Amino acid sequence: MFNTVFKNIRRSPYQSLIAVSIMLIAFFVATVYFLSTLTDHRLLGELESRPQAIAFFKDEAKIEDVDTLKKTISEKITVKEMKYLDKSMALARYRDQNKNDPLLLELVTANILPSSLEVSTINAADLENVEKIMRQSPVVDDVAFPKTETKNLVDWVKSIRTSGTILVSFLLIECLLVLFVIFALKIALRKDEIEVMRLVGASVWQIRTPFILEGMLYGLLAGLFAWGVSYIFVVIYKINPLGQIPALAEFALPFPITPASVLLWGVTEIVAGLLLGFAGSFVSVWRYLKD
Amino acid sequence: MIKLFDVLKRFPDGTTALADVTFEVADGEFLFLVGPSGAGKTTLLKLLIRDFLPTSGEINIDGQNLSTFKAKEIVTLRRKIGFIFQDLKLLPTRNVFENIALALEVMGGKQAQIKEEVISTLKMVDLLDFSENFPAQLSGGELQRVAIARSIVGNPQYLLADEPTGNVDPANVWSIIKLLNKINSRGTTVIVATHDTEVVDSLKKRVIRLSAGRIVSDKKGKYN
Repeated sequence: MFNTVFKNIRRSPYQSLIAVSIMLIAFFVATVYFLSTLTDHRLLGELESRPQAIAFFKDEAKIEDVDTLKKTISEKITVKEMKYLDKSMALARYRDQNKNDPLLLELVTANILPSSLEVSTINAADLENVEKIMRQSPVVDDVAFPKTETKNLVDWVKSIRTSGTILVSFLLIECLLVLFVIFALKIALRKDEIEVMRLVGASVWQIRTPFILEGMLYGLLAGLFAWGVSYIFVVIYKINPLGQIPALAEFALPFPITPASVLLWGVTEIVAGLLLGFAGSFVSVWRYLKD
Repeated sequence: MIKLFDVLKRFPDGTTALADVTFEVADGEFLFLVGPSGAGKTTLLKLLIRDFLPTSGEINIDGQNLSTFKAKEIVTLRRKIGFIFQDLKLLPTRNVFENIALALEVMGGKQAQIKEEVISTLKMVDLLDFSENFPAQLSGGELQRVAIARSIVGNPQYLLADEPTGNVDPANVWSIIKLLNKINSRGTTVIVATHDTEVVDSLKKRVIRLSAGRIVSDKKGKYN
């Protein structure tokens, strides 16, 4: 059976080369997209875990007023976290953030820093409502809400995800179509041989199986190459990780590069390749090699 | 044992290829199917390997009705029937050895066993020296012998030959007929479709004569 597979590949090497190349490109793009999606996910998660809307209270605000505001917000919005910072806590944070600049520390006391309530939500879209509630409170002096920036970043990540999903889906469909056409051609080229095989007593699966194995072999090779190429890509990225964007560099790869993770990554690529190769060739033999 | 009862074969375009065909072929028999071109000889042979189904009537081989066969049973049937095609159907990209081995490969034989059987068959058809040659390098008679070798390599129970002497020169005709006779003497049931009067007359075997898809005579001896 495997002899037949290798013989078929030798007979039409350029078709085989096209099939493996197309699958390799698709797998490489899919891998990069998948890794970047995981990175985006972590970035978004990180953004959403940070306080998004901050209410700064007037000096006359009492703790009861703060509790009332907290209650109002939590009744109307699904809140992830609410954190109240009184003046002394605000000073402690200020000192921590400016510990390397003694001049700034000298001039600041707890009295000039406002107490605040930091609110983060499960859904970033709810923050607009939180901001409205905060502004309605008579004890709130000001509200900080990086509305535009957050929205832009979320939209940007979402559009990358959408366009990436469309691109990868398109590439995978293209792979399936290429495999389908290549195997249709191979079947057409071997029409006479297939007819003779049938007439001398070959079962339909004896005729189909070498084509399916050939498709899986293409998938295996494409998966292996894509693994190798994307690994090199990630290593290069790690060494020089878009140096100007530290936030991205921190999330360059969503998992550590260990032998186990790299092996798992490779196995995933190969299994995906085998499945795609199987699907493409199977559809073709199913269509053109009926019982 | 092959039995045909009231077989009718009508193609979708309305052509009636066979009608009222009823006869039996005993195990080990040698039978000629004769008649002019278009008489229905090839159609009848193709019905016997279930290349297609009869429009009506019944074809039984070894007690089994071919019309009821499922894919797996068709495969089994074809493995016990050797077929020499009128157009030979040799594969140009395979050499003589590989063409013959194909019949054994589909049966799932082991490489060593396949090699042994192919060599033995090549000796029988006197083509051992040509095993590495490709069909394009052979003469008409040699090609015919390769086709015969492929059809008998698995020791089939039945051998169906469609005009096996149609494309060969007179010198080769007799070597092919001798070969078919030899295969029959081993116990293989042989059915030869031909319109070669001389061949039929010389062997004095049973002859079924077809004309316009109907049996017009079934007797032992001569073409007419």
